[in-house]
Amino acid sequence: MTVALLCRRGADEHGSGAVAALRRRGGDQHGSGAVAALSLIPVALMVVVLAFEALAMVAAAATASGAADLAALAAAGAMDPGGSGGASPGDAAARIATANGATLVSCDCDGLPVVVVARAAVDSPFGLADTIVVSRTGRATLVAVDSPLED
Amino acid sequence: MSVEFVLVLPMVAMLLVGVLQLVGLARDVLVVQDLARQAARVAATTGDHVEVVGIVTGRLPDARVSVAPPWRASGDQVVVTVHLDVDLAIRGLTVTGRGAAMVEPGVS
Repeated sequence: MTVALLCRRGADEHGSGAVAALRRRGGDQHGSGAVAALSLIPVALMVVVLAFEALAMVAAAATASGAADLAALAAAGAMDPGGSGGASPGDAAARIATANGATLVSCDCDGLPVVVVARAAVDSPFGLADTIVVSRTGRATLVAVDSPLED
Repeated sequence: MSVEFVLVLPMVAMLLVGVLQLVGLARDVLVVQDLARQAARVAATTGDHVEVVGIVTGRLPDARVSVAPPWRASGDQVVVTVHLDVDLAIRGLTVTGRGAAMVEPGVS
């Protein structure tokens, strides 16, 4: 009997202690939502900035890739004696790479296939990725066809 | 629902809309850039202006396409410029893509 009473008393004290602790914790958290809301602002700004920087890097990669492909095609076309417009393969590749917003890094134009490497700087809107340069390789060769222009 | 949650909810919604619009804008930039280069490639192999414009308008009917020079010969540099008007929540933007290629032998 005594043991049972003691157990019940202990349980009551334990239960009431837990409720009191929860109440205390709840009371301590008043205003924490406002702090979370304020801390969300810099996080949101950082997400937007990083998204813009990522977009700039993807655009630079696409620029370098397209410029390398078209420059390689131009260099391969310039190796054809029929129609280079007088430009050497290297000059043609450099001209087309520049016109596509990139810079020619190297042109292996001694033979076919032509291998061209072009690079494009990241046009970073917030300046975080200004030092990053993206390089891409383009390859092209000449294919003999009877009449490529008349399908 | 706490007051703080009500205050934060519009901010989170705006952030979500902004990120979604940015993703859409990124897609438009890449598509316009890619189509400009594809059109430049076609312009390097044919003198047909309609075919060059059709490469772009087939996927982006509202895009404006310019090909320079309109008459080209082998060895010339041909430049295709594509403009696409994009409506964002805040304001409208014009996305521009540009592709240049050297005209291949036999084109006139």
